[in-house]
Amino acid sequence: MISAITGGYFARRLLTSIIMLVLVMSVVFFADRQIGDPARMVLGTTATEDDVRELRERMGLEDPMWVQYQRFIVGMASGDMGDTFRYGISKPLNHGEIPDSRKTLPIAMDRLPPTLLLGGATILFSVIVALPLGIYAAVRPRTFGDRMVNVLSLAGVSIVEYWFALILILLFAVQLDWLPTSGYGTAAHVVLPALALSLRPIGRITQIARSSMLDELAKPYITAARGRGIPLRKIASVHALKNAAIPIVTTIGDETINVVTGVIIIETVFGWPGIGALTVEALAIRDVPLIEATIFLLVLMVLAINLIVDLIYTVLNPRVRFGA
Amino acid sequence: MAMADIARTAAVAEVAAPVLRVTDLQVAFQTPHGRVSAVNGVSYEIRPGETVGILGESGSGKSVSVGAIMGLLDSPPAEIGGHVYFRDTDLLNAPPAETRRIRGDRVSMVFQDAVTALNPGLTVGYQISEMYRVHRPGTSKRDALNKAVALMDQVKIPSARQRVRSYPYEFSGGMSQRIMIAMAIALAPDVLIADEPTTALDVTVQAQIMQLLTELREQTGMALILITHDIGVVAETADRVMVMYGGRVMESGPTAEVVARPAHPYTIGLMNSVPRAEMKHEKLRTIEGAPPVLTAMPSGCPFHPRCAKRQPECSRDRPSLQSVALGRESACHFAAEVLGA
Ligand SMILES: Nc1ncnc2c1ncn2[C@@H]1O[C@H](COP(=O)(O)OP(=O)(O)OP(=O)(O)O)[C@@H](O)[C@H]1O
Ligand code: SF4
Ligand SMILES: [Mg+2]
Repeated sequence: MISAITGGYFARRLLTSIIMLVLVMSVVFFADRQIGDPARMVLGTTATEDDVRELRERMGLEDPMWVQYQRFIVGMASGDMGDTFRYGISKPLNHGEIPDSRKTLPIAMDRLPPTLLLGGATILFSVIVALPLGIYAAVRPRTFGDRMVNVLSLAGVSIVEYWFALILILLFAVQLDWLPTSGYGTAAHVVLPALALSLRPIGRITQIARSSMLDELAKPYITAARGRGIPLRKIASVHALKNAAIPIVTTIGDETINVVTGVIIIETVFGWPGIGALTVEALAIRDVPLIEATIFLLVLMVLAINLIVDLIYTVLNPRVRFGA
Repeated sequence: MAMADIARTAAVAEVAAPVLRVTDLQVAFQTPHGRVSAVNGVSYEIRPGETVGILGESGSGKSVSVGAIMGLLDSPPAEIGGHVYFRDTDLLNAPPAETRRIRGDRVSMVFQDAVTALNPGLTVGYQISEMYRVHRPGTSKRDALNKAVALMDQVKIPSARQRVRSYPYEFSGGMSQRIMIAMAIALAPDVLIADEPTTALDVTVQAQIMQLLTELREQTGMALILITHDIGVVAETADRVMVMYGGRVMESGPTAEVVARPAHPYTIGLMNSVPRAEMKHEKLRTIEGAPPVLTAMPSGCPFHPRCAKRQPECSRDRPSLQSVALGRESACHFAAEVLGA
């Protein structure tokens, strides 16, 4: 069924994604050269102007802007985004081993699996909790259960992640000593950061699942299905859900993207050795090539999520397949 | 023709017990403007193979009355009273698990607007075969799908085998209605309720759908409850007719007799508002005024504000449904005169 039209559609979507990537990364390129002098950071306030200039030359920061920009664009295309200024050289950063290579992209890629693990666990957990909650509330509107779900999901979207993370650490790690405060390696380590990150997605997905299910359940085809003696459970979980799925998938996609940005803070709070924490570290030491490599990967993740959501749309909505 | 119909009705009445018995059906809704009564004291029965027409203008309570039978009304806001017996089960008072198994299987329904009554997100094949999967547990997916194809053939959908995987939007209104009908007759129900099955369709398609329903009724021997506001359709297809107005039954009886000699001024009004060949050059008469709104139901006879024959007592005393001839009833103070005229 997935036709040539769909193929063309995805070629177009891929092209817009690449343009988006170049635009966003260009902003990053100009911005990260304004946030303070990396050479001065390395050498300290006592270094002479000459020493600083020499280091800036070695870092490539003295080249004309357009030369730097050209190098940057070619670097993204070729997968070689330059050497780190100081990662693992001056002193090993919080979590990493001293890397074999000074190339930024491999260093950043090494931090990808923990982030994918945390993000995946977060979204999986969120969907598993939120979808049944939203459906449950929608099939019994205005009951006590529905109101509870409403209050909880509202709380979920209102509470500040960072604050909630600290509460979780205080309660489960410090007070109860059930779970580790930070680190990586065992299943127990993923629980608290995933919980902290999933609060908002759970709230949002529950709200959207509830409201889009309510919309669908009020439609004539639901009444007709009831008249055919189809059990309520099946009406909700097949008939209504199939049509409510598009807004729900959109929200899951949006929330997954929010998680990608959320990991930047949460990984730092929980000492989780992912790409988010590495971004913060790179920013702290003005390691321009490393900042660029980490953000490059984060943006790639966001674009990939968008493409996946699009792909799911075509499966869900029979009309999209025909380019309508 | 008329005599043959009467004879057939009588024959059916003698052989079979009613398959569906509606007694004193009441439906009211709680609304922000108070409680409104949409169906008030409707009673009728239908036997296997019989066709009963429910006739009435928009808002007369036709859909609500069958919605109660099919369990389509949410309570609240609906408050339902009376009894609807399918064989020995009271569909209004039996446990939901029991009535759910009857609805769609033994008593099923075709809706006015098939396009909105079909699920846009599921293939028609899934929706038809689901009838078997739900009501005949153990039917394999493959079997159910094959049966769906056979049904689509039966309701005359061309190239059913190829189209079984299509989505509803790929079908015209008439074809969608055929799919609805296929679902409704999938399990060979004892009673099929068709709620204005053709109003959403083009005139030529209307005739085809009516033809299909009539054929299916003849093939299967199911009872058919046909809701319409077209007295012509009733005259052609229904053995008996029930005329509703303002949630009440105004007149009921064998169609041929009712059409030949109506016993209620409202029925006469309906008949006069139908264009007929012999009155080509006459101006079409419609009943003056509008049907009542539920929140402002007239006192006495609900039809009195629009009735040409009304007398002072009509706005005071509500006429009850009374027998006016063998098998015929009318709710008019002057039924005997109307009938005799
Ligand atoms: N949920 C509801 N709440 C309040 N009133 C309702 C509700 N459902 C139906 N009604 C009212 O009940 C009355 C009967 O409606 P019904 O749909 O049975 O009319 P009908 O005879 O089928 O008309 P039509 O020919 O237009 O289909 C109408 O006045 C309608 O407004
Ligand atoms: S009771 Fe009176 S108002 Fe009602 S239909 Fe008969 S004559 Fe008309
Ligand atoms: Mg209706």
